[in-house]
Amino acid sequence: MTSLLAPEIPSPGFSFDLCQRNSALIKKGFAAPKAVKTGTTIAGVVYKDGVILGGDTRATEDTIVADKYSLKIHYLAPNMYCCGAGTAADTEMTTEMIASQLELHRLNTGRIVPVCTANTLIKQMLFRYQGHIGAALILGGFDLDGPQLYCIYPHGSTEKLKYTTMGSGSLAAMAVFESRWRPDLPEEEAKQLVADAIRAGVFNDLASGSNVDLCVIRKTGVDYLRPYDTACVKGERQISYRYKPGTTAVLTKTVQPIIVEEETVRTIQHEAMDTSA
Amino acid sequence: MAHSFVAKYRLRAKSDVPEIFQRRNRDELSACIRHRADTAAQLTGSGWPARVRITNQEIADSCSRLRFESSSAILDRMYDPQSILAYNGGAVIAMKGKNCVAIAADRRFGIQAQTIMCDFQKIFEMEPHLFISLPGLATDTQTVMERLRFRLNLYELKENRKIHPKTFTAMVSNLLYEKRFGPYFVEPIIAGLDPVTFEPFICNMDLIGSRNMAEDFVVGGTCTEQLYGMCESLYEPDLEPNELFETISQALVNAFDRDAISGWGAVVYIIEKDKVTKRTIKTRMD
Repeated sequence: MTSLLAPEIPSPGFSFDLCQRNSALIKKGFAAPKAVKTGTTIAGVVYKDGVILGGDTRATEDTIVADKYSLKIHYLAPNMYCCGAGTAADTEMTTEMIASQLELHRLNTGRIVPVCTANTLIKQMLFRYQGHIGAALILGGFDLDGPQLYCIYPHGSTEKLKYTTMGSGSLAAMAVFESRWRPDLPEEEAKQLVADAIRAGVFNDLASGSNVDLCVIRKTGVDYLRPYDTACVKGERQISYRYKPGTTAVLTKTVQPIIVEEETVRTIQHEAMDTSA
Repeated sequence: MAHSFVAKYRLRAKSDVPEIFQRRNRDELSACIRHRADTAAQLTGSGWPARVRITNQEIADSCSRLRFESSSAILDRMYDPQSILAYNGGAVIAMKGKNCVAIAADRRFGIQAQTIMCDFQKIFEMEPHLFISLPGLATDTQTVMERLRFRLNLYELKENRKIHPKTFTAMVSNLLYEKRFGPYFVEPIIAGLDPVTFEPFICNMDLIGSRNMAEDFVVGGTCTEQLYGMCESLYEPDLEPNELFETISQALVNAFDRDAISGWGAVVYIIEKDKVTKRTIKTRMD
């Protein structure tokens, strides 16, 4: 029973309230709208002293470029990043949720979280949803066992690899890796290789484009290079198409002034953390 | 081993190519892999080889087929049944200016081709400096707005401070993603100024809450193609409030004049540090 004083606690996780209504609408002949896909080229390699992750920066909604500079290399932990391909919201939310779980794990254990822990957390979550969460990920990081690179499919299967690609441009990117990857690449050469793989996706796959982002993870720290390279520079507009003031006919105009009537600053005294429990 | 390899490509090919085209391409590629695996198995005489290599040419062929087939999908889209997002119609833009932001929307409320009213509210004030518009299915526009207002009120009571546009965006995104498998049919657009620094902020989202925080402009509604076209050609960075008003108004009006189910009046908000100016503008009423 819900009351004002004891409101019902909403159940955690996904809500399926609208499913019945939505399927009724679809049955009536209205097409279900499409969500933003990242339609991506993402790639990762293990090199001499770490891991390099790479991604393009285009997000598409059907055939429209929805975002020209989207972020596809997501933060998981200080020593771990994750590239995402597939449904944009899924990759974003999945990595955010896993990042918070990893941080809690780090605080509980007081150690650097191993990359295999993140891999297990992600694959267990994705498997639970049987592929309905459309996130195809490349997980890279550096822990006590050295550089680690995993490839995670939306259904929850994973592979531990030395080099891998994902997304709609994965074939083009893999062609570059298959011909040029070798063990113990030096850092600069590895960066070039990943950037070339992403560029292969950008130029050969319609759903990938714009810039090349890189993330270099090694023992000493992380270099997040955004953008590492702009694959195509946009031309300069030669003239301005600015309209003269007064072109648009205004019917009504209301100005709402925002006046700050009072400002109070309350300083909060430092309080020691309660450790009694 | 080889079996799982085939399955892997099946998933990869699936990501962005329309369903009808997937099968052919996928089958071709897996047939190619199977053939290679067979040959290699005969050669080694020890069952499946550990890893089947495909030549770059085969991959390139497959890529160009994918490209050709996705562009022919554009033609098919024109014959799609109408989307739920296009049931009521609407067009919205938000733009960044110099120390100001603008958000503008049309005022039509209709049921498919039939216009019901011409003074429908699509832009909502959440804070003096924070506005949201929710183009899409009108019933969800209003429901989502009310749910957001509820969450925002609770936030302000708990925190005793004004919300940052970025935080508010996360709130909207979380609300939508909670309904990942049965979404609200709205594609929100948020425009506002930071309550402390008065930095301009704009953002749009898809219907399940994937955020896009743009540096220039964001659009939404039933005529996004036209809106993107107008904005790409008219937009300039660092416009003053009155120049921004002309730019956003002309972008909106000229875009929705090419869309049958949006228009019929428009409203433009210019949000500055010390004031918010709301203008209704003259448009075609046909």
